[in-house]
Amino acid sequence: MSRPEELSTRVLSDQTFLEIPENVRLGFRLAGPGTRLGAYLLDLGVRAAALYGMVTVLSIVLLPFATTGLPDGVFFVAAFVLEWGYGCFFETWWNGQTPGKRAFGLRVIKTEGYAIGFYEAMIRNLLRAADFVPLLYAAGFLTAMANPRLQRIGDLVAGTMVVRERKPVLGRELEGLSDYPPFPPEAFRHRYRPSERTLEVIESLFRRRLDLPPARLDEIALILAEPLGKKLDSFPDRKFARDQPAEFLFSVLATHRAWIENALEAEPKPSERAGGRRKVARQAASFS
Amino acid sequence: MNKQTFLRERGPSWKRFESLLGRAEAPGKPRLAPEEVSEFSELFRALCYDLAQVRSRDWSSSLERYLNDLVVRGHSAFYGGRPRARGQALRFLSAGFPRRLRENHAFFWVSLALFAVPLVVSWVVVAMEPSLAHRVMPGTELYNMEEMYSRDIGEGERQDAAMAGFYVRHNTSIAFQCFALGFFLGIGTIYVLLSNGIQLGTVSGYVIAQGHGERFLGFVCGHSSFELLAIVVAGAGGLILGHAILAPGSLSRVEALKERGRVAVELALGAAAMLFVAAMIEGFWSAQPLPLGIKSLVASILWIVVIAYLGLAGREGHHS
Repeated sequence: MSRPEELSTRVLSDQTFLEIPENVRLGFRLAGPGTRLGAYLLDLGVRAAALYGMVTVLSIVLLPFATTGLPDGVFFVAAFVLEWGYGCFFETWWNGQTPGKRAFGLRVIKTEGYAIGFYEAMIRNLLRAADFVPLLYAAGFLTAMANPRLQRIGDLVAGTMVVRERKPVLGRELEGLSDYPPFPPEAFRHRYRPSERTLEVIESLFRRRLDLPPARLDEIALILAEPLGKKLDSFPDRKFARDQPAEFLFSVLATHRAWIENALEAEPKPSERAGGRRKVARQAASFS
Repeated sequence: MNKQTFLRERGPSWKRFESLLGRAEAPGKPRLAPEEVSEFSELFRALCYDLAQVRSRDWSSSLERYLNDLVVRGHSAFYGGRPRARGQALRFLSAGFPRRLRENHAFFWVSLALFAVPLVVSWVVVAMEPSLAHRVMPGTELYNMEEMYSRDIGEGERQDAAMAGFYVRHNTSIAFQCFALGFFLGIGTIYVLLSNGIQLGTVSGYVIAQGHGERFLGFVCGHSSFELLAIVVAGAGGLILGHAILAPGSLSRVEALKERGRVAVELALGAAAMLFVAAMIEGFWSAQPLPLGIKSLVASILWIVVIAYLGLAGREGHHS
């Protein structure tokens, strides 16, 4: 029997996990039908554009051979190759990506976590014919919805899955955070520092700040700004926390986030303790 | 150890790993030097340990994501690589494909029966009673067929290259569909084989009954060998898929599909290559205005060639 939380991740999660020989469980974020449809439509556009371009060029270059039907013949072959070979070609040579998948940050990988090869790409693209049945990829959609890795029929047979990729970046630059003035360290009582979890929450709110109406943003921010504001020393600061909760939270974030970006640089800021700095500098030198 | 010192101590080796990884992932020749490979492996193991540590201490999800993704890429680069042999396509066509087909000959014979029996039956029946053809195909289509073979193709209207290209696309698409639809317990494949067999038999019987036999046979006999057997081979691939689901044996159905799917797609690829040959013959040879005798001689040779290819190419002992 699976435990309840395992069950719930299986039903609701867009993640799938894989245990590797190093005894670590890796998480993969699966691509949902929406993004995959987007990538598919983009690829369709690229294919159509390629075919159109080819027709234009062919009709000019092969004009002298028009009576033999050569331009038409080449056109049919090109259309066929684009129809059946486009996905296979790109997924083999671009390591599981087509132009559409690349634009949407998707990649096809084997369910064991490895890169795919020619055969996997071939199988999953030939079996599109089965996924398309009876029309508009209905069979593929239903199959994907029915299995935990969101695999369509072609993926099942090829042993592949489509995942969302992120570029692994440590301490991602939070654009616009510098607009919010950080607090001096002594502004908080006992030099209080929010937990990492709390900062994560503020960060995710910060990323969505432009998508939310300002009133709603403040309403959400207030939930966290209230308890955090109580840790502040001075009255004006507390008033600031209460009156402009969103801006307050972002200032808190600016106060504590700055060091992450700098933590990995070879030369730490002068304010850091000297011992730690020398150690890092030496390590960095020995590695580079 | 707090997060800050952890980052400072471990960060440089992650950066180093990232740069090695970038080179290991890059397509092309200069990969990693031998000592870099062992460094990579060392860093990778340390990275896995770091990831486990970050998770157990619940430090931050952005750091966890970063390490997770780095391990994912490292895992794929370290274990997933496979050497890419040159000349694989040639070896596949000259030996791998016919060998694969013979290993799965039972599927080939079933597929052949599903295609050839309705073809012969409908041919004979329609030849005896041509009006039955209208029960199989719409009258306009029959009329077009008859019209096509009722006269010689004039020198000016022949568009060999166009026809060859058309056949490549049309026939190979049918073969791929015939293969892929095998996923549905083989039913899709069986349907495609039966219906193509019936239609082909009907058209043949009808056109010959209308008295255009010589022109019709002269046209189709040349490419018939490669084209008909390719459809049967693609059908065999589709039946393998269906069989993997119906009778997965000791494997799970998904595992069986993965294992047999590789075999099945090799047959589909071989069929595509055969159909390419067929289309070239159909486009550039079949419409040549030559006596039926020469055409049937060439056709017989081509049948022998294709049967010898599928039956003999790549036998053990013939290569080493």
